[in-house]
Amino acid sequence: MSDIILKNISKAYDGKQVLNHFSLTLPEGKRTCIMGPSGCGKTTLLNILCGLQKADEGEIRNLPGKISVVFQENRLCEQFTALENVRMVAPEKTETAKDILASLGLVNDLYQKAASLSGGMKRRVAIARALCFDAPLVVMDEPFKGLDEETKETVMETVMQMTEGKTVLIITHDEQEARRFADHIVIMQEH
Amino acid sequence: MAAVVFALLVWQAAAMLVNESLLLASPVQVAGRLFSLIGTESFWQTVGFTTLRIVSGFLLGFFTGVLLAVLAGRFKGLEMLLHPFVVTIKSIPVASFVILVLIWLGSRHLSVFISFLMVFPVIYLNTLQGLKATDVKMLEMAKMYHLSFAKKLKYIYVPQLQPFLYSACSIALGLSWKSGVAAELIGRPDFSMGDMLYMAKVHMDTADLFAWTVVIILLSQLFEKLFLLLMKKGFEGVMK
Repeated sequence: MSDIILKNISKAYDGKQVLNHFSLTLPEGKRTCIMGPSGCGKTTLLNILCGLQKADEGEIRNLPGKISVVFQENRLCEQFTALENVRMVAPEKTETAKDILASLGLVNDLYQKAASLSGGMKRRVAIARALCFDAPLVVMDEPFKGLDEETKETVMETVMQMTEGKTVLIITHDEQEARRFADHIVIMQEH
Repeated sequence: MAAVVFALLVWQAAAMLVNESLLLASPVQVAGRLFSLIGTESFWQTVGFTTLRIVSGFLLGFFTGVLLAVLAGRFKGLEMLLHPFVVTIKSIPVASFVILVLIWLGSRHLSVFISFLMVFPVIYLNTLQGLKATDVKMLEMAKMYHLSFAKKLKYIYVPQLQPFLYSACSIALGLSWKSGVAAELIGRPDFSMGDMLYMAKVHMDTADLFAWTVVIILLSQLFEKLFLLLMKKGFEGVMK
C-alpha cells in the first residue's frame, strides 16, 4: 500500500461549506492526527474517507478496500457479549479477540453483554473490534473520549503497538493525546 | 391463580343470584358439560378440525407477512405496490370477507383464509416498521466491517425485529382465533367449533356455549404460549 492522498475534497451541507478544497496525505505506515474545533469538518472528512458520504468535489487515491473504524459513537450490538462484538468482524480470530480485550483491561468482562458495560468499557470494546479487523488503514474518531487517564494510557499503548506498520488516522480534541500518539499532526480550521 | 379463583367465585355467585341456567350457566354446570364433552370422539374431531385450520391460517399469515415485509423493506416499489392491498385487507369488515370466501371457496377452509387475512396485515406492518427503524449507523458499521447478510441478520436485524414481532404475534394470535371461530359461526362447516357455538345458540344451551368458549380460550392461550416460546427459542438460536 502507498500513501493515501486526499485531493481537493469539498463538501457542503444546506449551502454551508464544511470542507473547501481540502487536501491531505496520509503517509503509509504512519499515524496522522487531525485536530480542530467542533464543526470544522473532521468527522465529515472521516466519513468521506470511509465511503459513508460522497464528496461534492475532489478525489481520494490509494484507498484500501478494508478500513478499520472506531466511530464517534460505539455502535456495538448491545444484546451480544463484548467478545462476540469483537469476534463478529473476524470469527476465525477468537483467541486474538480475547487477547486484545484482555490487553484493554476487559479480561473479566469478555462474556458480559455490551448493554451491561459502562461507557468506558464499551469504548474499549469498539477499539478492540477495530484492532481485531485486519485492515491496512485504521481510522479513529475521538477513540479515547470518556476514558480515565490511567485507562487511556494503557489503551493508547495497546493501540500504538497493534497498529504498528499500519496507516492510522485519528481525530481528537486533546493536544497532549495528539502529541503522544501521532507521527504528525494536522490542524483543521473552521470556515 | 388467585385472580382466576376469585373470578370463578364471582361467576358462581352471579349464577346463583340469577338462578336461571338458560341465562347464566354456573361454573359447576359448565365444568360438568365440559367433562362430558371431553369424553366424546366428536369433541376431539371438532377441536382438531378448527385448531388445524386456525393454526394453518396463522402460520400462513405469519410467514407471508414476514417475507413480504422483508422484500418491501428492501424494494420500495414493492412496498408501494402492496400498500393498497394491505390497507384494504385491514379496513374491510371480517363479515364481508367471510361472505365473499363462502361464495368463492365454500365453508370447509373458510377459517384458514379468514385467520390468514386477519394475521397478515398485523405481521406485515409491524415487521416493516421494525425494519424501517433499523439504526442506519449500525448498518454503516456493518458495511465498514464487510459483514455478510447472514451476520447483519444475526447481529442487527433480528435483535431489532424481535420486540416488533413479539408484540405483533401476541395481537395476531388472539385475532386469528377470534376471527377464525367467528367465520366458522357464519359459514358453519361440519365438525367445527363455530358450528358448535351456533348449535348451542339454536338449542339455547348456555352451558354448551360456555363450555365451547372455555375450550376456545384455553386453545388460544396454549397456542399463544407455545408459539411465543418457539419464537423466543428461534431468536436465541439465530443470535447464538
